[in-house]
Amino acid sequence: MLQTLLQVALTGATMGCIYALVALGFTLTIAAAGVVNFAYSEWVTYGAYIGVTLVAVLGLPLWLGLLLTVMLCAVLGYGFQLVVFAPLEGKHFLTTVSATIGVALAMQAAATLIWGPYALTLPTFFGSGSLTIGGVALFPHSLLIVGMTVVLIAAMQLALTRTDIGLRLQAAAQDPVAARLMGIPIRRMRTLAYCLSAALAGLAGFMVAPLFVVTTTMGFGLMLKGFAATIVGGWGSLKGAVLGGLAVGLIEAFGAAYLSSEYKDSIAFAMIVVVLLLRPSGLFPERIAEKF
Amino acid sequence: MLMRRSVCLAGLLLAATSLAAHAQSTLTLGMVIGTTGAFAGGEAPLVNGTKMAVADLNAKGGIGGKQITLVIEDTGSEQTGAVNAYNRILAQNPVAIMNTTLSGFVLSQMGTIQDEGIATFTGAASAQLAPDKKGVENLFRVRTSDSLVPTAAAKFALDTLGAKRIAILRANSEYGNGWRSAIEATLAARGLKPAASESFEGADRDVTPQLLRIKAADADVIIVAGDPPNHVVAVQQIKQLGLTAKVILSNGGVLPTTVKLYQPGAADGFYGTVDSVPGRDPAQAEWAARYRKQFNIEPDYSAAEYYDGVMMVAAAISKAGADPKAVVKALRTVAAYKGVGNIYTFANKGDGGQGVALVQIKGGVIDLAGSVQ
Repeated sequence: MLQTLLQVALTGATMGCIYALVALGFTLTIAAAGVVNFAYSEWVTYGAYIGVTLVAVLGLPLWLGLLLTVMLCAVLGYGFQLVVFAPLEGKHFLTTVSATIGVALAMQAAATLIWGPYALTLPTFFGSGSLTIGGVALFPHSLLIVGMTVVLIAAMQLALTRTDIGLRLQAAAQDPVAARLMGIPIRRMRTLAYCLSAALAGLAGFMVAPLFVVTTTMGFGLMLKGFAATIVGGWGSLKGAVLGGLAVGLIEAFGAAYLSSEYKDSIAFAMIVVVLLLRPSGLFPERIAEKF
Repeated sequence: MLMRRSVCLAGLLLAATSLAAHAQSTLTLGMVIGTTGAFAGGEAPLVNGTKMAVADLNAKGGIGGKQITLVIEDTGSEQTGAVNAYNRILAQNPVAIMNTTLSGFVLSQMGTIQDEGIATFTGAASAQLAPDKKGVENLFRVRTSDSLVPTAAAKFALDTLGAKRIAILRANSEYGNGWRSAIEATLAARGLKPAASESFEGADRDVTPQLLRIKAADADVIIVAGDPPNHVVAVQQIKQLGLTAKVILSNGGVLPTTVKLYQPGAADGFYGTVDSVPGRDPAQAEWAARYRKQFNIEPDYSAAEYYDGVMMVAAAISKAGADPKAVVKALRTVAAYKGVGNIYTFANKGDGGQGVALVQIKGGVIDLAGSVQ
């Protein structure tokens, strides 16, 4: 009984960390630029496809493939903000949202043309075996995802609160007008947020590729869960995104294990409704969310 | 001015005449399939098989001297997209339509299929599409029905693998539900019940909770029914959790393109259902070699079945002409037609393919493990 509980908790935590990574990147653009980027699903998908290209096609080692994927996705984010977001800055909220949906559809079709219709995959860092400790199966790749997410979130927290550039980014997010008057280059800060967001998408895409199958639609389901995590955690709150992701992952896993696998998604979304009824601004709202 | 208008009219007339002449010298074969979206990968072999058949027929002079033009409309892997694509293809006046393999999509097109009366082929496996259920006169299944395949899987588990406690892990879809019903019926006929019956959504990428419940139910065989990505996730997590039960995967789990996605050794020893194994059948060696060369992938039964569908259309037109009603009538006389991917019967309300084989994954390739009548 205890083994099952621990196994479910581990699975829920792994999925929760994946959702948290996605939600974090998704929330960055909301917090820094007020943009809900529905093309984020494709950024995750492209991260996985770029990883497959670097590792499976070009034969690079996994670690180098991961590093290059994150860098290339950051470049993708830069290009994206240059072509899509910058020209639409100051336009109505829905105009930008519509643009991101259009770009997402175009990117999905382009992925089919570039990588073909067949599903692809990546090898894991530690093979397909698992360790068993106390009757609980531990899959090394899942542990890597959990560890990497924890380290990354800690590093981001430190960078945002203890470095000059992090504080500027926060200032630009919280009050762009005041930040501009203080001499903070808002445009550059937003560009940085887009690049960071895309890099996180690349990281998430690469890390889930061995667990999921790489298809043109793989990012969509993840983004939906990331979106749910963003709402549960608190709109525009980075801390909320992480904790919301973990909450969604754990509730899904425990709901499927102890209630019903048939109603797993219903349970997760019922939780969102309950949270929104009790705390309309999410579990961990931040002040920057108030401007929306 | 008058001169210029006359020249324009003459040009238009010439273009219209040449188009009409071209239309008369060719036959249009329609195809409604997902070339983008979630099911594009699963449906790509069907496009390959159809293209190969059209090329083979055209190389031999076409049908009755008329070359065949293949027109493809994309469903976008969505239900409404499938209905719209079917309507778009009708505007091209096709002699027959090679349709999507998604059962739910075909069910939603059923009214139009019946109203228009064009011979329509599908690889959709749902038992609901049988002629004595929701199927219609001009719908032809180039696949073995799900009234037979899951039953064969359950019988193989009971009779060959000696299963006493069978668990079902299936997609929460028309396809997965069909598998559950057929397996439950087979077990009930022997006075048995499933040890566990678990489901997952098509987009789910974690089935650990479901597998833990199956493990707790002490199942000795797990039958998994879903799409290729679902199988990849299930296989990996069965391996990670150290489940010792024998595993039978539905057709999507043993497609060559799916087997390539399993982590090394993860699916070794697992079984799967197929309609046939054209890549391993000596009788189909020439066809399989040409397929490999043309598309650079291992052939599978679904490509072979769509190839067969086009060949049956060609035979029907040769016999009865290109009138849609005549084509349907001719196809309804087909009995025990042995194609590359299956043996088909449409006569006397025949439901198409009848072959079911069990394969086993060994070292990343599939081997025939048995066939069930």
